[in-house]
Amino acid sequence: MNTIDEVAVGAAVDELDALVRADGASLKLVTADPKTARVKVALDLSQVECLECVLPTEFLEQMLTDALAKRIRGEFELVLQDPRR
Amino acid sequence: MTAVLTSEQVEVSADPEAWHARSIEERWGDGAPLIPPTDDRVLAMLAASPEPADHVIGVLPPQHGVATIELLAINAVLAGCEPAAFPVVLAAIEAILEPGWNAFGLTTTTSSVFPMLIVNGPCRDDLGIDYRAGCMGGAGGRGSMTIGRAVALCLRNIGGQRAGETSRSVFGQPARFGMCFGEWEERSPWASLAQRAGFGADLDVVTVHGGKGTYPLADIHNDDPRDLLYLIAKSVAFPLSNLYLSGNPENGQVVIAINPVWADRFAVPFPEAEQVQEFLWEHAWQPIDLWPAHNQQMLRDRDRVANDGKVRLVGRPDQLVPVVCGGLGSLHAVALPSFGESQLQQAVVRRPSA
Repeated sequence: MNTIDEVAVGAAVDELDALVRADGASLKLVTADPKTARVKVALDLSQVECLECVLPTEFLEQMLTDALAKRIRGEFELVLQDPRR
Repeated sequence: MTAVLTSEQVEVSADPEAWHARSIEERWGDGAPLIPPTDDRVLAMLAASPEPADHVIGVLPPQHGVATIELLAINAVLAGCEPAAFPVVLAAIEAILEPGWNAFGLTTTTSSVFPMLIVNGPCRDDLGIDYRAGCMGGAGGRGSMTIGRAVALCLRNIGGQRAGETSRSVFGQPARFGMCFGEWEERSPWASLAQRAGFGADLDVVTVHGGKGTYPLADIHNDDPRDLLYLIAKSVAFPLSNLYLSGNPENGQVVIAINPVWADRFAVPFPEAEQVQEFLWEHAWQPIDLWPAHNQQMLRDRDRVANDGKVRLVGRPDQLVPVVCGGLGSLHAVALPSFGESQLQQAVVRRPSA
């Protein structure tokens, strides 16, 4: 029962990566594991000069969840690794 | 070598509605549509069996029906099983026939108890055995919906279990249509149910639990793992549990289905399943004063009351059996209390050698 397609998940993360890149941040897919239904995404802020300019964690998390939900069949757990937490 | 079928042949209509009506008239099923067990379908099922068609797996109660592989295959076809799932049905029947499961008692009792199948191992995904959201009903995996049903049909058609006749079950329960779900091993922080029983993680294993029903538990207010486990322990020790009726507190189990989110939470203070069981056991009791005088006397007569007035639900921690499954929505657990005079049984799924 593979409900997570890594390519599709990667495409969703890339879309949002384009959004945060404008502020110097980047989003990367760490893992998308169909066995655990866990998707780990890391936010890199090391090149960001204005932290307040990057989408807030909760908002980014919601946008990612919405984007992933369109590409994943069934439930999944998003783990956003955000250094601001 | 192709098997030779020896069962009685019956001519039926090819029209689905006429076939369905006939199956109800003949009492071949559970009221829902069945798949006609044509020779081709039965032979395909038999090809998936490690034993020949005439092999007798045992005698099924309550009416002592001789369960040959052929008869079991016919019922698996009726239930809609795919042949690859037939070895799981056979393993479940083997487990049911273990004396410790007490099949005669469970198929005849006034209780609602019925075999609940819990599957571990790689076959869960291949066969559509649900272990995520809606795993106890609603997810709709073919394995979950047909393997348990096949076992139910075997008990009905081979064993002769019929409600109101050989079975005195007062209410029955939805699981009497068949209940089969898996453990979400990949999200469990603990060794799986099968591993805790000594089986390797690479094996497909069926656990058969004589469950009385699904007893829902919920909490949205408290994230503390100890508080939540304490509340689960108190909830499963409800005063009218069958497990208080017996004089022997070492009979029976309560399977406790824990969602993956809670499981992660519980694993912080309790990294081993045995620690969860110990904590549950410490709190799965009620004070003797909870019961009316007549019941208090019964419990005292059966030596169920400790000196401190605690009446423990079960005698040992390992009778409280956590299983990780269900969706990621958190907030819920499900207890599957047993009939009491029955012990969990397990069997490895065996397939034909290549």
